[in-house]
Amino acid sequence: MEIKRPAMAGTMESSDVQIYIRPVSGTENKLIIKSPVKVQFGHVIEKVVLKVLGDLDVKGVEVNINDRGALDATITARLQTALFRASDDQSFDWEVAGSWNV
Amino acid sequence: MDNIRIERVYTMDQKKKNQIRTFLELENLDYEEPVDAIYAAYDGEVLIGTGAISGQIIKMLAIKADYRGTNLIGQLCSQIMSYGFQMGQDHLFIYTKPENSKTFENLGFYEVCRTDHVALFENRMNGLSDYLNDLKEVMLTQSSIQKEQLFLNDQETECTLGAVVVNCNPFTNGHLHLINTASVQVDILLIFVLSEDRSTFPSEIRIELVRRGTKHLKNVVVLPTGPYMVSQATFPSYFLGETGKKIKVQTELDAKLFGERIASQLNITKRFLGEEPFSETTDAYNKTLAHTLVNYGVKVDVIKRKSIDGEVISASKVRNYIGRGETDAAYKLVPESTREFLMSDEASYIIEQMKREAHLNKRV
Repeated sequence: MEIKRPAMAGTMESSDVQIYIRPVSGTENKLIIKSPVKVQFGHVIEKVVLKVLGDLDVKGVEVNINDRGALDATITARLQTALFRASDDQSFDWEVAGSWNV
Repeated sequence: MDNIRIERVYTMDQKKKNQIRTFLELENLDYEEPVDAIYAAYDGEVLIGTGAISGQIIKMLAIKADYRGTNLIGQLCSQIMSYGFQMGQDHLFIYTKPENSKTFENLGFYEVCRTDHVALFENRMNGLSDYLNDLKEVMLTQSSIQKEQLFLNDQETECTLGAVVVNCNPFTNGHLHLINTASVQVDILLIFVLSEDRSTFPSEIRIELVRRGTKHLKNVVVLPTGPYMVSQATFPSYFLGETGKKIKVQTELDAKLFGERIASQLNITKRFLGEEPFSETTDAYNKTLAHTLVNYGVKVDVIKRKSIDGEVISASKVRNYIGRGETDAAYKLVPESTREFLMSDEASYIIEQMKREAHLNKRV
């Protein structure tokens, strides 16, 4: 998936996560994670984010995560939304997405 | 509690606007124009929270005491940021009292700089450091500076760097004089051109005219200020209350931000200012700046303005002449590169704007 523009998804309500992504030069992805439970679950958040980026074959983005206690499913959904908003990809398919979230 | 809703308040709605004004006063805050959008939270008909955005700046956030602790501020902030985002503003700032840092850190804002009276936050962890890295890249490619000469933090550096911050609306012989005079006093002169688009000439054109007008100087680098120079125009003072002196607080923050976060990173040891013989406010600003910057190893140098035929050259004079159609008088005050631009097709819509402004000034 090609990331063309900055995009945001999510809110700062409790149990949600606000994700802001923007394209950067190069093919590396950069994660900036802010979470009240970063010490306890930072590595889990990172794992979830990297999985979504891998599933959608995303390269060269900076992902800013402002977590407010979101569960994996919420993080996944918000990140997928932000990524689709950031690209021109119209191919979102519920079955495919569902098969990832196991 | 179930009756809580957040809605956008349109300023045409005087009743709601006054309700917000009163609410803010009770919280010791001012309703401060300009405002692009305001959001208000209500419990039934009772106003319980507000927040607004103006350009890149979020302000006037307040929650009624008995509704705090429910993350209502998070909901309000989300709406405001969403609006900002839709308007193309994804890089947002908050100026607030230093005591409120924790609140904004929890909302995903990062502190940029603080003084005793005000703290500045942005919604990016690496906003300022990315900006500085971009600057360093430009500095290294655009000049003969060697990497080693530039960033020796504690050691004696052989290379003296000076800086000047200008708007250049448009670039005049007065600016050229300031820059010429400054550039011979340092090894490298960094010319920071204000990125904020609040002037008749758009920022890309202003910075390009500076580049063209200083091409003959081998030791200058022209750079954008980005959002990191705190200008009087953008500084909000809604939280300062009766005791706050807006200009002094703004200047202290601007000086500290420049001294502590920018000059020290780039090894700038001199800052040049144009003399302001007619403006008491700017004179006070210059003095505060000099006083504060000394703490960060930056010496301030005030350079006398250039005059022609006894008249001090200023960009506003140039705009006025053009607006009144007195192009010859205007061209006398600007270098060739600026004159060429003014005579080109590209400039015609800007000239129309200056004519409109001159017309308005006449009527005032």
